[in-house]
Amino acid sequence: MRKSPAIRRSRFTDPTTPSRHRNQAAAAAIALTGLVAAACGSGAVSSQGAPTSSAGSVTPTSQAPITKPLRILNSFKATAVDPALPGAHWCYTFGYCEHPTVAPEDRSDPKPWLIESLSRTDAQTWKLVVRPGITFQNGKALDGQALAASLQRQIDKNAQVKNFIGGSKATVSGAMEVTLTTPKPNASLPWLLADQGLMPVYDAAAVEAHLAAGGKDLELAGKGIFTAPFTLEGLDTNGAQLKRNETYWAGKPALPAIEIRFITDPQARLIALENGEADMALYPPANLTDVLKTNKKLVLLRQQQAQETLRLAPNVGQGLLTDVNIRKAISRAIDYEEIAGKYMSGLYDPAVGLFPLTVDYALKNQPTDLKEARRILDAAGWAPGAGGTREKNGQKLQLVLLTYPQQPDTADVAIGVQQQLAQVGIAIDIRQVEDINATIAKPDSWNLALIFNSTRSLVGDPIIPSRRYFHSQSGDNKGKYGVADPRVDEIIEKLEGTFDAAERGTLLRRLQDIVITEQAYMIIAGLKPFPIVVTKEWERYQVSSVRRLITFETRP
Amino acid sequence: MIVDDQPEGPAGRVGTSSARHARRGGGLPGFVARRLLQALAAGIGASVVVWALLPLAPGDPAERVLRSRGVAEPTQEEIQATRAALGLDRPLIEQYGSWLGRAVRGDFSESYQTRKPVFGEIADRLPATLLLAVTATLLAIAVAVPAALIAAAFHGRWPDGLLRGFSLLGAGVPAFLLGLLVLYLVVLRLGLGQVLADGKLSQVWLPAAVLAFARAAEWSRLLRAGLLDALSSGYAAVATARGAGRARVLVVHALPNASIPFLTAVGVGFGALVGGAPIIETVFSWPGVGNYVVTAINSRDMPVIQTFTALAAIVYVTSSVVVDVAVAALHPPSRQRT
Repeated sequence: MRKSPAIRRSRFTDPTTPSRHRNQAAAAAIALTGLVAAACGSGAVSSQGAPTSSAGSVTPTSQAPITKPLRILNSFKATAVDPALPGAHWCYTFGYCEHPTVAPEDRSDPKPWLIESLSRTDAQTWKLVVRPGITFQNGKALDGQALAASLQRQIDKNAQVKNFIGGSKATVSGAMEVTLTTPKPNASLPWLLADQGLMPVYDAAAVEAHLAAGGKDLELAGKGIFTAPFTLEGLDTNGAQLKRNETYWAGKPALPAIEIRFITDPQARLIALENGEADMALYPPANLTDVLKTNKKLVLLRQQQAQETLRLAPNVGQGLLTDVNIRKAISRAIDYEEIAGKYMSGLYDPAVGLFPLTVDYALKNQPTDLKEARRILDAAGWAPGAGGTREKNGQKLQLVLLTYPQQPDTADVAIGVQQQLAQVGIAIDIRQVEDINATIAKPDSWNLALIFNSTRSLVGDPIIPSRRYFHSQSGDNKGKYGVADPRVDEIIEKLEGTFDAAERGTLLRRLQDIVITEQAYMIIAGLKPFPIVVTKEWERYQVSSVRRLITFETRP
Repeated sequence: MIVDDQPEGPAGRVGTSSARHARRGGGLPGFVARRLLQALAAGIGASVVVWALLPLAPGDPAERVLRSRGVAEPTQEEIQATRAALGLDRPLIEQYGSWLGRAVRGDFSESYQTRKPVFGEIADRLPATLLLAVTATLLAIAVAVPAALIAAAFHGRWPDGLLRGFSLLGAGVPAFLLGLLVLYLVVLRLGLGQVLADGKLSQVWLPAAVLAFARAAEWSRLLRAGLLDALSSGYAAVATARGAGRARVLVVHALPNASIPFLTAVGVGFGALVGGAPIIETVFSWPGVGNYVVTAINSRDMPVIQTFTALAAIVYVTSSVVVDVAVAALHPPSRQRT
């Protein structure tokens, strides 16, 4: 695996790693440095090793105190505070909750954050050692008991966590230590511990007491249940208000407060931004990219690494695309540069394979080659027909491509795909459907679907998405896309129990060989970096590649 | 809807007895009873349509609920459990009966997303929507009535042409486009007002003006037509012959008669506005019912969509009944037509 400095500092350890105690000591020193710095009110944390995060921040050139709150406009609403409930995951994005581990900005392996170390004693048993000196915003200390309660509550009550590691047990094994036992080997665990709102660390006892006393979920705002740099003070359907956690363990947060408004209309968000009523607007529509580029008051920023993947998913189980030759011809006939540059106005990155090339296991195996596409179709007996569409045994090579209105980009990309495939004699019938998941579940009604997902999780895990899209028994694949390949199943099952990065890399490369090069089970249409529009004051802001938009270092 | 095409002015009613009115139009209580029965039938029909939104929407309702709650990959067990919990495994007629029974008691279930009672969430937003609806209606009336009077007074001359141009513009410009233009020109260029509204009186003017624009155009056209009809009627000629000036004939004799279809349109239009103005509320980020519903539609939050549609139908039917009864009280012959 390609190592970044962040990874080299990572303190995930195997039972065979002798440096565990040395790392713990170093981490304790780091935490102490941070605490001293915070106690002295310096507002700065040593760059020599105290926890820092470049996520959602810029390198500060000035340490002048900031008095204005950051005002953010978002299209989606945070609908819950209790992390066990859906709709609470925005706490990760907006910096009012933290996780045991954190994903580095290069989306490499996660590193410890609220814990000092994460180690395995066997394939199913993990030890988490809590970083000392951390308190919840309500003043209660974070220790082994609090961490175990938080993890166990999420495992039991959060539907997504239950789906990933249901049946796991988090038990206190020391004053500052938790043992987490999973029902089967799970190499994704370090990523799950860092992922967006899945297992944030919170005062589970306080939440349970609040709910037992008849308190409402939204009333948890202001109770200080998290450890994060910002405290959620209020949350309703119009927005959220956060204020600086003055006793934050890693250093004094640079921003005094954050105000988030939920504004559905994308144009209204941008006009409000231009009118100086906000500093940041999320989710700008792709069709406004060109307009934004000429706007002198606003700046369009994007992630350094694209996080979302727009898949051109073939229906492998039924219809014409059961023929691997047609799938491979489609893969070769699409001009990925043109999709990203022309149809998505440069807002997308061109796709080159299943994974972005920023990870060392990624293969560049999805080339554009019109000649090869035509050759494959010719060899498979698909001859050019009268109207330009190829035919075989009287059947036209005409495919139904699904798009959906909730992601308007799919309509624009579909037009590009239609025009590009017409060049090799494949006719595309674009159909926009209201519920893409429901339509995909009827595999006799479609051939291709443009659908957003990520081939790696938000924080970089390739294993769970691989199971979802390619394993024959996965609920997202079985009876839908119809991929059923014993070789693929075997690789995925091996991956889930493979903790060694090099070995995992080998398996992932083999997986890409099969699903992209040999079988074209999936075609990646484009990579979408998360865009944000900011005012000039915030033009040096760096958009987090793992969607942690706010950290204690975030400042204009 | 009642549209009186044979208005009878004060001059025409001189000497007409109430007994004769009653014979011509029937008694008011009977009319009200008939109208209420019609409203009830319309309400029951609307309830079936509203309830059917859930089973008829594309996809498995139980899976949709789970996905809207953030379960990306619901298992068959979860889907079955949700189906049972929501009663979706019962016969459709039973589901409808249960839904209607709860709805009558004001229990419109909980939002899939927020898990809060939908009725309460809508009630929280209703004051902002009412403020917007009342302001927009008053603004529209304030523009429509003088505009129609001027157009009728100057029939065939340039003020009349101007009003017709205004009417065409109002009918032709989509609300979202006008809203965005207002935001761009008034807020960004002129520096007046702001984009992010908080539902208070001080910020209601811009969205209300945009909402009022189309209604003022429509209502002024309607009132102008009524005024011109009234001016060409016999009682207007009688009033003129008796020495009434043109302004008096227009305002005192023609306006009251011409106002019946106008008031009907205003009543129904106000009812529709109380039901929410989703586009304008969204463009102006107005924290009202319409904005809430747009968000619910985007996230397929079906209980919210059902409740909103049911309440909009109730408001619409109620306002229609109120207007019809008011017109019937003012103009007894109209009682015959329903």
